[in-house]
Amino acid sequence: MSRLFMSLSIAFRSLLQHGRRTVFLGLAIAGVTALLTLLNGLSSGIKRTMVHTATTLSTGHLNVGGFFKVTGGQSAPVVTRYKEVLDVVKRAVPEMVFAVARGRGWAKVISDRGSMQAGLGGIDIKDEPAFKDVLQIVAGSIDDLAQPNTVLVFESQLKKLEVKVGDALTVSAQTTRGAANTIDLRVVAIARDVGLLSKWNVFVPSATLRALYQIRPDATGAIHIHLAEKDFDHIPTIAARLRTSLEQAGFRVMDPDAQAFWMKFQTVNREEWTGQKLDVTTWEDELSFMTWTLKLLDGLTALLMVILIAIVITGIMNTMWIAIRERTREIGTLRAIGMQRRGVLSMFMLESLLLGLGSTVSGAVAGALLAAALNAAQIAVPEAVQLFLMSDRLQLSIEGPSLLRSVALITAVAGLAALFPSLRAARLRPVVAMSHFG
Amino acid sequence: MGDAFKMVVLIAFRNLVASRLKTAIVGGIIFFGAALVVVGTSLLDSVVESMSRSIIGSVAGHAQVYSAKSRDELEVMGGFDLEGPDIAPIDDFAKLKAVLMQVPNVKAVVPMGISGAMVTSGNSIDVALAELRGVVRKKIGGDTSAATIAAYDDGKAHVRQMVKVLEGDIENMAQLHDEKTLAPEDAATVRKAAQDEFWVEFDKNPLDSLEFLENRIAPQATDADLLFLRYVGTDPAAFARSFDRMKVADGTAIPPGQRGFLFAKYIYEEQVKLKTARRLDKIKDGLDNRTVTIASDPELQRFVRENHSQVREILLQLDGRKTELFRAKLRQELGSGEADVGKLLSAFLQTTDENFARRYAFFYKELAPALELYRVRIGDTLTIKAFTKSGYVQSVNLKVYGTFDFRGLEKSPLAGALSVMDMVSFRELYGFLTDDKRQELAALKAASGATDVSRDNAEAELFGKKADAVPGRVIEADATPGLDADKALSGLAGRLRRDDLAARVFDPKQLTQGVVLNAAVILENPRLLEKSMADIEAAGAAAGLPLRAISWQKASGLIGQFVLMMRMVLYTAVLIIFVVALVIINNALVMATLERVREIGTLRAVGAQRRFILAMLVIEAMVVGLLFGALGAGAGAAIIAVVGKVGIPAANQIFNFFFSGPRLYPVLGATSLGAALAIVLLVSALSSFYPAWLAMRVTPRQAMQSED
Repeated sequence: MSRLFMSLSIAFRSLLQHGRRTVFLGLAIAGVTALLTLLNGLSSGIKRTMVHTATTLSTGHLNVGGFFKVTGGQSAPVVTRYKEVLDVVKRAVPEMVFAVARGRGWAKVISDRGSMQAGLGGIDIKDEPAFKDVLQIVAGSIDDLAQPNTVLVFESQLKKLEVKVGDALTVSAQTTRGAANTIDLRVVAIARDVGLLSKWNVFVPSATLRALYQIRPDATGAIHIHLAEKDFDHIPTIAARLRTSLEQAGFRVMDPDAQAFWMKFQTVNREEWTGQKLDVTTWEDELSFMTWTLKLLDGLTALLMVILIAIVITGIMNTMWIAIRERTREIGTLRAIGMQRRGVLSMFMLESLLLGLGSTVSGAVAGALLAAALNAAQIAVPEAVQLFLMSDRLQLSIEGPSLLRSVALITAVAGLAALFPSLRAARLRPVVAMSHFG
Repeated sequence: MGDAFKMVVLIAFRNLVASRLKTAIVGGIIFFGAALVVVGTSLLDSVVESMSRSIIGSVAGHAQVYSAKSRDELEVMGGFDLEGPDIAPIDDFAKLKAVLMQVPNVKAVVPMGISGAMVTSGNSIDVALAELRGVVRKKIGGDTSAATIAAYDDGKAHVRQMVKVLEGDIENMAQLHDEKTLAPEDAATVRKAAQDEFWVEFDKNPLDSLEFLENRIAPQATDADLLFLRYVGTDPAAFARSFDRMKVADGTAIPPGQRGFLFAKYIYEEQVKLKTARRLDKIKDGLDNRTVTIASDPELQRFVRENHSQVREILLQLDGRKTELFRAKLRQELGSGEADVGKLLSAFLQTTDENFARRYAFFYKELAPALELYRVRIGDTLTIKAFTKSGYVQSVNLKVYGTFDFRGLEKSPLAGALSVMDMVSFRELYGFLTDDKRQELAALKAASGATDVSRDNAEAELFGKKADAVPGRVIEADATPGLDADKALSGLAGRLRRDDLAARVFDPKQLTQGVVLNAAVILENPRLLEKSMADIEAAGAAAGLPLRAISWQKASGLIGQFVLMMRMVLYTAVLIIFVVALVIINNALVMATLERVREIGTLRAVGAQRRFILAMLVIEAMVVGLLFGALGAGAGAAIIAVVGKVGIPAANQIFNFFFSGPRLYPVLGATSLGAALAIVLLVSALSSFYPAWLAMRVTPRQAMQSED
């Protein structure tokens, strides 16, 4: 124990002695760690916003959606007799926290002053307490969405629609029978944006959506199943189980296909069956058209890190070589008074590890602080970046485990980089080392 | 001075060789950095270049001009939704053109409007009924040849089969739709048409029965296939003149004064072609051009799977005779005794790397001639239904004259995203109403007095635009007018009206005058883009026509911004890499300097000035920088040269889009080389200042005393 303590104190003193060198190298390592922290924070920030936004607006953690085909060539994103489906879901997914039925639609929304195309979410606000908690209402009351022919819009849509609470909106859509149908709605609530998806979504009562598409009261768009955070990692397993249960209960279930429901029309329309088929999807499936940005960011981060770590390794090795040359006589002396080769090796390794640990920790802390500062600054980002970030503000999310991983990774790299020079130092013979000059 | 300089350089070179380790480390980092800058910026520039060619050459022109009163910014490409941005119309293109043509450097101005719509390829029952009607006419006309009688019986059987399918559909519909919205008489009419008595009656009185089928049965069929198209309404002749790489690939151009539609070849292939055939093409492209295999590439595997499982589209095309033909051919080809054509097809389309070439050839040689490879043929009439700005559905029938693409951009999804239609039809779909049309509307509204919304709306055609209408003052239609008036023309009457309109010609002047949304401007000298844009805005303001001019990059919307962002990401990465490199190099140099304290002290003792020491060390670093920087840049250039020959295959759809084609052939940019060298020199100079400053402070005595 005391041996370790001594080694540590020698390493620490050596670092202090070569203060300038330590500071420079430490700064570089800390900078790289801070960068890694920030980039990871960005990536998980995006993911978090994505899950948060999406599970509020357009998907559950797990969904039972599906298509109803009146004829072979046309399909509607509808689940008929959904209560029966819900019963099966309740039995098959005991992990379920709650489930909601949402209508799905796509329509033209027209106000007196403008118009836009939007995804319609049909919602029973009375059954969805969580929805109320997540949305911040800027004007009006979300509870009014319980009344028929009402609509909730998002702030960013006001630019196009120019409406306020109480104003009228008309929605116009094609029913599955190919006819256009319209309904007049009253704006009852305006909500603050929830990420990019809210640009294209408005919410109406389920009954209104059914009336617009003229579908039966026992039909809905999809059942969104919400799970507790602890179950997030095994969503695919739960999905597979649910699929089997639904099949056993006599429902026809589509093969898994990791795409958003609206990307499946082309395929479904070309298949021969008619009637109802159910489709079990996860939130990642429904957002597959967006998650590629996340993959791109992770790829870029990895690439950048590899390059930077290569540079840092070069720097550490260089420093160690020179330190060993400078301290050859010291090494000789230590060996002469009885230090083992292993001792020399661990002394230099410890030095490097200590430097690595110190600078990674401070780098991680700096990165986390910077991330917090960036979050607090609420930096608005341009539209192209918004698409990438899924949010109109820069949001970083620093997570403990990934922070620890970064620290461990870079410290380990620092240690490894020192391994080769340290081995060389350990191999020095005391006599040669002591007579070394310069 | 000259001698001193020579000496400094000499000493610097000697030192480089003397401390090889330091040189190797610093040089390695610099080498790598320079290569990265050259490769990175060249790649990015090549992406930008290929995208800009696609964007400028296909629709954007060098600049886009639109009304400054618009609520949104114009985007000619890459919108997420079908509808375009909210652009205030410009009332008179003739005036706009006159203003723009006065601006120096403006070569051509093309009128435009961009929007998108759902397009139905027509109900198959409509087609079958039209065929039957033709045969019935012949028969009534006295043609009683065996062929006509056989065709009559075939046609009847076909329609009867369809009615039977419709009966099943009606049952399905009851499961989906609210009973209240389903008129019971609809189901009753279908039941009636399915009964034997109806068909006995049909032989006696074919014309009346046909009318019943056309008016009461056909509208209930919902098997029309939907296409989502984005199109640009323009003056087709001016468009072809100004975007001179445009060429007609199939069919002909839209004749002057005719309404018409030209598909972008890419869209035609991608969306209109028989999906099975398109997927076979894509698999072939993957095997030939991307050198992947079905066994290893998930995308190709998906194509095979879809081909294998989706044979319905082909089966629907097979009547009795063709079914027999396919059965015989496939049985022979596969050596199978299977009787079911669906299963035979499915087995045939289960292609592997081994049998693909043979089956591909077999498909096109033996099967394709019996198939309709495109849902919409050249010469067909296309019904385009669009939501007008105010939300009602407007539909127009247009003849498809052909397809077009752009020379050199044939495979670019970007350049092939927009189809072309004449401006007159565009205005109608977009919902511009002239004064007299507004009055007509008001009259009809008053006459109908109905307030409920009929579900016949889709069939209904609002109002045709009289072809000889004088282009008067144009206004945008009010919000939601005429929804109740849609009843006015429905069913057959509406269809006839549309057919009639499609055939009418219009005064070619309507293309050069009248309302447009935006205009593409082609410049004489694209380098002066910024100045010309300012000139255009000034000229507009002077003429009382507030205009906004935006560059092609801005007009391409998110795509252009994406490029900017990629550039930002690259520059940030380069910056970070060099900052870290700077620290590491600096560190290496500091240590190298400290090692040389004695040497420096000696130099000082024999009379070297501080300036000399400083110069020596900085030059040393710059030499390393320049040498390894040049080597690195050379290596980067070599990589680009090799890659430029081979091309980078686009791994998937997203890259296809960014590469603006299936392969990117990067070219080396002179600026990337320059930038790489400049950055490298800057970094090596900066990183040597601190160590040099340290060395400068070394006094001769101190140095001679020091032990190491």
